[in-house]
Amino acid sequence: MFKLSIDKIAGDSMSPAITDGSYVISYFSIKMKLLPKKVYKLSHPQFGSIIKRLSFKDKDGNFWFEGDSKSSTSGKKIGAITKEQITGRIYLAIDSNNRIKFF
Amino acid sequence: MLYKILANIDKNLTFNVSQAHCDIPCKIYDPIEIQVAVLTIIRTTDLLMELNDKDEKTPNDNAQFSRLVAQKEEHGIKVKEAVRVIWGDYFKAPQLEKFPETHELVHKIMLTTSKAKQNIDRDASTELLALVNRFAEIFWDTKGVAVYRANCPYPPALEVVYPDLKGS
Repeated sequence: MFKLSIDKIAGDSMSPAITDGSYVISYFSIKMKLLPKKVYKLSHPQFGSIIKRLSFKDKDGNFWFEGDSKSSTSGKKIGAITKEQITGRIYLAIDSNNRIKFF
Repeated sequence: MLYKILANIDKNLTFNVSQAHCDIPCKIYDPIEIQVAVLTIIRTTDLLMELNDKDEKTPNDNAQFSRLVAQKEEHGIKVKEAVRVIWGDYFKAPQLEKFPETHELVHKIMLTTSKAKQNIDRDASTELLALVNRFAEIFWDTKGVAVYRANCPYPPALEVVYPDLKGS
Protein backbone atom coordinates (compact mmCIF):
# COMPACT_ATOMS: atom_id res chain seq x y z
CA MET A 1 0.00 0.00 0.00
CA PHE A 2 1.32 3.42 -0.96
CA LYS A 3 -0.46 6.70 -0.29
CA LEU A 4 0.44 10.30 -1.06
CA SER A 5 -1.33 13.14 0.71
CA ILE A 6 -1.28 16.93 0.96
CA ASP A 7 -1.92 18.68 4.27
CA LYS A 8 -2.12 22.30 5.28
CA ILE A 9 -0.14 23.09 8.44
CA ALA A 10 -1.70 25.04 11.29
CA GLY A 11 0.67 26.30 13.95
CA ASP A 12 4.32 27.11 14.37
CA SER A 13 5.61 24.23 16.47
CA MET A 14 7.73 22.97 13.54
CA SER A 15 9.04 26.44 12.74
CA PRO A 16 11.46 27.36 11.22
CA ALA A 17 11.53 24.11 9.16
CA ILE A 18 7.78 24.18 8.47
CA THR A 19 5.90 27.41 9.09
CA ASP A 20 2.24 28.08 9.81
CA GLY A 21 0.13 27.91 6.62
CA SER A 22 2.60 25.78 4.64
CA TYR A 23 1.47 22.83 2.55
CA VAL A 24 3.24 19.52 3.08
CA ILE A 25 3.32 16.45 0.89
CA SER A 26 3.65 13.21 2.78
CA TYR A 27 3.68 9.57 1.78
CA PHE A 28 2.80 6.39 3.54
CA SER A 29 3.84 2.88 2.71
CA ILE A 30 3.89 -0.30 4.77
CA LYS A 31 7.65 -0.51 4.23
CA MET A 32 8.16 3.15 5.22
CA LYS A 33 11.33 3.53 7.30
CA LEU A 34 11.03 5.34 10.61
CA LEU A 35 14.21 7.32 11.05
CA PRO A 36 15.22 9.70 13.85
CA LYS A 37 15.31 13.41 12.89
CA LYS A 38 12.81 12.88 10.05
CA VAL A 39 9.37 14.51 10.20
CA TYR A 40 6.22 12.39 10.35
CA LYS A 41 2.49 12.83 10.42
CA LEU A 42 0.79 11.23 13.41
CA SER A 43 -2.75 10.40 14.37
CA HIS A 44 -2.83 11.44 18.02
CA PRO A 45 -5.76 10.51 20.30
CA GLN A 46 -5.79 13.98 21.92
CA PHE A 47 -4.30 16.35 19.33
CA GLY A 48 -5.65 14.76 16.13
CA SER A 49 -3.49 14.88 13.02
CA ILE A 50 -0.14 16.41 13.97
CA ILE A 51 3.34 16.66 12.47
CA LYS A 52 6.43 16.19 14.61
CA ARG A 53 10.04 15.13 14.34
CA LEU A 54 11.00 11.62 15.43
CA SER A 55 13.38 11.63 18.40
CA PHE A 56 13.91 7.98 19.23
CA LYS A 57 12.40 4.53 19.52
CA ASP A 58 12.18 3.18 23.08
CA LYS A 59 12.90 -0.36 24.26
CA ASP A 60 9.19 -1.24 24.08
CA GLY A 61 9.09 -0.39 20.39
CA ASN A 62 7.18 2.90 20.83
CA PHE A 63 8.21 6.12 19.13
CA TRP A 64 8.81 9.52 20.76
CA PHE A 65 8.42 12.80 18.91
CA GLU A 66 9.28 16.47 19.45
CA GLY A 67 8.47 19.75 17.75
CA ASP A 68 11.24 22.00 16.43
CA SER A 69 10.05 25.19 18.18
CA LYS A 70 10.66 25.83 21.87
CA SER A 71 6.93 26.45 22.33
CA SER A 72 5.97 23.07 20.86
CA THR A 73 4.01 20.61 22.93
CA SER A 74 6.68 18.58 24.66
CA GLY A 75 7.51 15.00 23.80
CA LYS A 76 6.25 13.98 27.24
CA LYS A 77 2.81 15.46 26.50
CA ILE A 78 2.69 13.82 23.09
CA GLY A 79 3.58 10.54 24.77
CA ALA A 80 4.56 7.19 23.31
CA ILE A 81 3.38 6.69 19.74
CA THR A 82 2.82 3.27 18.21
CA LYS A 83 3.83 2.43 14.66
CA GLU A 84 0.15 2.23 13.70
CA GLN A 85 -0.37 5.89 14.70
CA ILE A 86 2.26 7.11 12.23
CA THR A 87 0.29 8.00 9.13
CA GLY A 88 2.98 9.39 6.85
CA ARG A 89 6.46 10.75 6.38
CA ILE A 90 6.76 14.38 5.30
CA TYR A 91 8.53 14.54 1.98
CA LEU A 92 8.45 18.25 1.23
CA ALA A 93 6.94 21.52 2.46
CA ILE A 94 5.99 24.61 0.46
CA ASP A 95 5.65 27.85 2.38
CA SER A 96 3.71 30.99 1.44
CA ASN A 97 6.87 32.45 -0.17
CA ASN A 98 7.05 29.39 -2.49
CA ARG A 99 10.13 28.08 -0.75
CA ILE A 100 10.32 24.31 -1.09
CA LYS A 101 12.02 22.28 1.58
CA PHE A 102 12.74 18.57 1.24
CA PHE A 103 12.91 16.32 4.29
CA MET B 1 3.30 30.08 -7.85
CA LEU B 2 3.20 26.50 -6.53
CA TYR B 3 1.82 27.71 -3.21
CA LYS B 4 -0.92 29.65 -5.02
CA ILE B 5 -1.88 26.57 -7.04
CA LEU B 6 -2.10 24.49 -3.87
CA ALA B 7 -4.07 27.24 -2.10
CA ASN B 8 -6.56 27.30 -5.00
CA ILE B 9 -6.94 23.53 -4.95
CA ASP B 10 -7.32 23.76 -1.16
CA LYS B 11 -10.20 26.22 -1.59
CA ASN B 12 -12.11 23.72 -3.72
CA LEU B 13 -11.10 20.36 -2.32
CA THR B 14 -10.06 21.33 1.24
CA PHE B 15 -6.91 19.52 2.25
CA ASN B 16 -6.65 17.87 5.62
CA VAL B 17 -5.22 20.21 8.28
CA SER B 18 -2.35 18.87 10.37
CA GLN B 19 -1.52 20.67 13.56
CA ALA B 20 1.98 21.77 14.43
CA HIS B 21 0.75 21.94 17.99
CA CYS B 22 2.20 24.31 20.59
CA ASP B 23 1.80 24.46 24.36
CA ILE B 24 1.61 28.21 24.14
CA PRO B 25 -1.30 29.08 21.85
CA CYS B 26 0.27 30.12 18.58
CA LYS B 27 0.77 33.83 18.00
CA ILE B 28 -0.30 34.75 21.53
CA TYR B 29 2.61 36.74 22.90
CA ASP B 30 2.44 39.49 25.52
CA PRO B 31 5.36 40.93 27.49
CA ILE B 32 3.08 41.87 30.42
CA GLU B 33 3.84 38.53 32.09
CA ILE B 34 7.54 39.48 32.05
CA GLN B 35 6.84 42.92 33.50
CA VAL B 36 4.60 41.51 36.27
CA ALA B 37 7.28 38.93 37.13
CA VAL B 38 9.89 41.72 37.44
CA LEU B 39 7.53 43.80 39.62
CA THR B 40 7.17 40.72 41.83
CA ILE B 41 10.97 40.48 42.09
CA ILE B 42 11.13 44.14 43.15
CA ARG B 43 8.29 43.68 45.65
CA THR B 44 9.87 40.60 47.21
CA THR B 45 13.23 42.41 47.33
CA ASP B 46 11.55 45.28 49.25
CA LEU B 47 9.92 42.84 51.68
CA LEU B 48 13.21 41.00 52.15
CA MET B 49 14.96 44.28 52.97
CA GLU B 50 12.23 45.15 55.48
CA LEU B 51 12.69 41.79 57.17
CA ASN B 52 16.43 42.21 57.12
CA ASP B 53 16.11 45.52 58.98
CA LYS B 54 14.37 43.85 61.95
CA ASP B 55 16.66 43.54 64.97
CA GLU B 56 15.10 40.34 66.23
CA LYS B 57 13.60 37.80 63.90
CA THR B 58 10.89 35.35 64.96
CA PRO B 59 10.65 31.85 63.49
CA ASN B 60 7.78 33.22 61.37
CA ASP B 61 10.07 35.95 60.04
CA ASN B 62 12.67 33.34 59.12
CA ALA B 63 10.02 31.24 57.38
CA GLN B 64 8.77 34.34 55.55
CA PHE B 65 12.35 35.15 54.51
CA SER B 66 12.77 31.71 52.92
CA ARG B 67 9.41 31.99 51.21
CA LEU B 68 10.24 35.40 49.73
CA VAL B 69 13.61 34.21 48.46
CA ALA B 70 11.87 31.24 46.80
CA GLN B 71 9.30 33.57 45.18
CA LYS B 72 12.03 35.90 43.92
CA GLU B 73 13.89 32.93 42.44
CA GLU B 74 10.74 31.53 40.81
CA HIS B 75 9.83 34.85 39.18
CA GLY B 76 13.38 35.27 37.90
CA ILE B 77 13.03 31.94 36.12
CA LYS B 78 9.65 33.13 34.73
CA VAL B 79 11.28 36.30 33.34
CA LYS B 80 14.01 34.34 31.57
CA GLU B 81 11.60 31.77 30.16
CA ALA B 82 9.03 34.32 28.91
CA VAL B 83 11.70 36.56 27.33
CA ARG B 84 13.24 33.53 25.62
CA VAL B 85 9.86 32.53 24.13
CA ILE B 86 9.10 35.99 22.69
CA TRP B 87 12.68 36.50 21.50
CA GLY B 88 13.08 32.99 20.11
CA ASP B 89 9.62 32.39 18.65
CA TYR B 90 8.07 35.79 17.88
CA PHE B 91 11.07 37.84 16.78
CA LYS B 92 12.00 37.04 13.21
CA ALA B 93 14.12 38.81 10.57
CA PRO B 94 11.81 41.85 9.99
CA GLN B 95 11.56 42.65 13.72
CA LEU B 96 15.30 42.17 14.26
CA GLU B 97 16.15 44.36 11.27
CA LYS B 98 13.99 47.13 12.70
CA PHE B 99 15.43 46.77 16.19
CA PRO B 100 19.03 45.48 15.90
CA GLU B 101 19.54 46.18 19.64
CA THR B 102 17.21 43.29 20.53
CA HIS B 103 19.87 40.55 20.89
CA GLU B 104 22.01 42.69 23.18
CA LEU B 105 18.96 43.79 25.16
CA VAL B 106 17.83 40.18 25.70
CA HIS B 107 21.32 39.19 26.80
CA LYS B 108 21.35 42.10 29.27
CA ILE B 109 17.95 40.98 30.60
CA MET B 110 19.34 37.47 31.18
CA LEU B 111 22.41 38.79 33.05
CA THR B 112 20.46 41.32 35.10
CA THR B 113 17.84 38.71 36.01
CA SER B 114 20.63 36.49 37.34
CA LYS B 115 21.97 39.41 39.37
CA ALA B 116 18.51 40.16 40.80
CA LYS B 117 18.05 36.46 41.63
CA GLN B 118 21.43 36.00 43.27
CA ASN B 119 21.26 39.10 45.49
CA ILE B 120 18.83 41.22 47.48
CA ASP B 121 19.64 44.11 45.19
CA ARG B 122 17.00 46.73 44.51
CA ASP B 123 19.16 48.57 41.98
CA ALA B 124 19.59 45.42 39.89
CA SER B 125 15.83 44.74 40.12
CA THR B 126 14.83 48.26 39.01
CA GLU B 127 17.44 48.13 36.24
CA LEU B 128 15.76 44.89 35.15
CA LEU B 129 12.39 46.67 35.03
CA ALA B 130 13.87 49.37 32.77
CA LEU B 131 15.23 46.67 30.45
CA VAL B 132 11.96 44.71 30.23
CA ASN B 133 10.06 47.96 29.71
CA ARG B 134 12.29 48.63 26.71
CA PHE B 135 11.71 45.05 25.53
CA ALA B 136 7.93 45.67 25.81
CA GLU B 137 8.26 48.96 23.91
CA ILE B 138 10.06 47.20 21.05
CA PHE B 139 7.56 44.33 21.06
CA TRP B 140 4.52 46.61 20.83
CA ASP B 141 6.18 48.76 18.17
CA THR B 142 6.66 45.67 15.98
CA LYS B 143 2.91 45.03 16.40
CA GLY B 144 2.10 48.61 15.42
CA VAL B 145 0.65 49.33 18.86
CA ALA B 146 1.42 52.62 20.64
CA VAL B 147 2.44 52.50 24.28
CA TYR B 148 2.20 54.71 27.33
CA ARG B 149 3.97 54.71 30.67
CA ALA B 150 2.12 54.64 33.99
CA ASN B 151 2.87 53.56 37.52
CA CYS B 152 1.46 50.11 38.23
CA PRO B 153 -1.55 50.44 40.56
CA TYR B 154 -0.08 48.21 43.27
CA PRO B 155 3.24 47.96 45.13
CA PRO B 156 5.99 48.68 44.17
CA ALA B 157 4.08 51.37 42.16
CA LEU B 158 6.84 51.76 39.57
CA GLU B 159 6.63 52.90 35.97
CA VAL B 160 5.56 50.23 33.51
CA VAL B 161 5.12 50.34 29.72
CA TYR B 162 1.54 49.42 28.76
CA PRO B 163 0.05 48.99 25.27
CA ASP B 164 -2.46 51.66 24.28
CA LEU B 165 -4.97 49.26 22.78
CA LYS B 166 -7.75 51.86 22.50
CA GLY B 167 -5.72 53.75 19.91
CA SER B 168 -4.97 50.71 17.71
